[in-house]
Amino acid sequence: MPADKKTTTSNVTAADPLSADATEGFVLKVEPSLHTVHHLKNGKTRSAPYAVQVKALSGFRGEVGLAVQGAPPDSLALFNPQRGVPKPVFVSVLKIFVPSSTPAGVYDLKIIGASGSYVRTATTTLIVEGEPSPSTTPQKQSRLQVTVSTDKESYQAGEPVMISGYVTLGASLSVGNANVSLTILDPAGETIHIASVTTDEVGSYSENFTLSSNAMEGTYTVYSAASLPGYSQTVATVTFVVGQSQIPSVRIVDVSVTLLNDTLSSEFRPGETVVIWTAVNSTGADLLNGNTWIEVLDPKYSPVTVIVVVVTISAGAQERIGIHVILASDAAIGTYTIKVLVSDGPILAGGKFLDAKETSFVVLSEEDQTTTTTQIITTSEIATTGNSTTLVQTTTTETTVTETSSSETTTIETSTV
Amino acid sequence: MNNWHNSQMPQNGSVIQVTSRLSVMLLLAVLLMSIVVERSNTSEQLTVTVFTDRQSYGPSELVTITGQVLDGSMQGVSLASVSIQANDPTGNPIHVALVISAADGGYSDQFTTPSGPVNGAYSVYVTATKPGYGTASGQITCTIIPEFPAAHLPWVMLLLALVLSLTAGRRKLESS
Repeated sequence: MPADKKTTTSNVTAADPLSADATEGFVLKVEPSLHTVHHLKNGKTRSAPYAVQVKALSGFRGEVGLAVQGAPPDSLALFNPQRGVPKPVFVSVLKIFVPSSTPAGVYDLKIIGASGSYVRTATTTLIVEGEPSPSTTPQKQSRLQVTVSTDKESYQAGEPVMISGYVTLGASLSVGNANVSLTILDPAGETIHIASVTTDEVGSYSENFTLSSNAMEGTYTVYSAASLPGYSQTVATVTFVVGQSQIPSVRIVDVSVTLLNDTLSSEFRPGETVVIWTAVNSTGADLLNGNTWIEVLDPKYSPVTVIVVVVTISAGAQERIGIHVILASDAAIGTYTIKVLVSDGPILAGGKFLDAKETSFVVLSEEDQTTTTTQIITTSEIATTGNSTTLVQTTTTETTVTETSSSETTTIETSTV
Repeated sequence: MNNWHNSQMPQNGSVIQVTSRLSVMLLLAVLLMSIVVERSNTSEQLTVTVFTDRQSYGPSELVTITGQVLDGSMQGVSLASVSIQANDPTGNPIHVALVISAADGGYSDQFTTPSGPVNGAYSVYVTATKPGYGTASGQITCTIIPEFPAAHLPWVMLLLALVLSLTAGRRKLESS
């Protein structure tokens, strides 16, 4: 049981030159700076949690996607959530699941945050100790994935549009030098822009183009197809609106997983309750009686539940939806996939999906006695100095790791004026 | 606004096993497969085909859904969005997916059948859309047969032998 408790507090400071020099966009911070994992003799998977904090600068409100480089090749890396909009701060918990087969060594992790032309990195270290042994719960990150987003959800004719995204293997391992083909169709299906780009060393890409001054009003579609030798091509889409649109342009802007007490977690045991949250935006037109589908697939990619929530999302509004999934007492051990999709009606009635996002969580056996909880506490207070009044927001992130032999608590405290 | 919903993950239940004992022979004889394709009347509308790689599946088996999105000239249409919904025999959705058609209009999706599936015919519905084209829909039905437990085979053989002996006995009485 817990033997000792260590608390460290630090202000937000960039851990990497890319972040340290930033005066606009956002900065990244990752805590702790070092995590050590000891292999167990029973061959079970261990996990190392990190709190990744994204802080906006100068009123930045773009969506930031997260990825990691340098993790052990047979490990599984999960961000929870994978992306988010700092208002002005959001915190994601990165958990590295280290199977017993991982060779001992020092792994330098580079955390990457990307949004449009802004790419920030922060570094931390994972140390794996002990003798490796055959893994009982092999992790796979072999599927190529791509994300795509635009810097805004709606534009006027003649405005510049920035398209950006990143390519990963599995959910979080960034892939540099991948080819990405971009195609943009106008509401009539005409191709208005095509481009071929390559991901940079941290796996991100971006492309700019300008809408013509007489651009057709309506919903535009961006297709992003990523390819890498040895992997199947993967395609992602996003829509944006020019002027007014008669059809909804829907974006799933957040998918996160928590415990019942609202604590971010991507690690569960059989019998526990998984709470899945999603936030959906609509622009263009109201999405009347839209269907939000949440599917959970087990490690064999077998669906264990599909939940449909009927919600009307007004244009310009955001709807937040939460569901509970209770894991069976004999739930399979391994990595589960959560798929969130939004449609304009049941597919069997001719409806179509308007957006889709994925995330993952891991179910470990009862014997693995490592638990990690992260609590995010935001407090606001008004400070008055002379004639000026300032709103001070403080976000505190507390990550607690409890193992059979020790307990460690890391606190990140930030102040935003 | 927050919306809350609860779900209990299904557990492998004995009810399903009982059902399988009673109906497995019938299901083996009745394997359904049908393809419904809605075709367009104009060149701007899409056509979508949908297939499953087999007509019937057992528990925990991989289902591969494939098809093609075509234009009015029956040429493949790339970058079409294909929405997929699979329903169990009771009409409840068990799987959904959004995939994008390739350069030849082809698309595919996979999932693994549940370990304790509901017995009967499963329907897969697809909708293909692309800006500038009319929407097309398709449907296919396949059967998922719950695993027949080998441990129950002696009981079924005993039941079959009993039925046969009763039938023979009745015939003997009728003939005498």
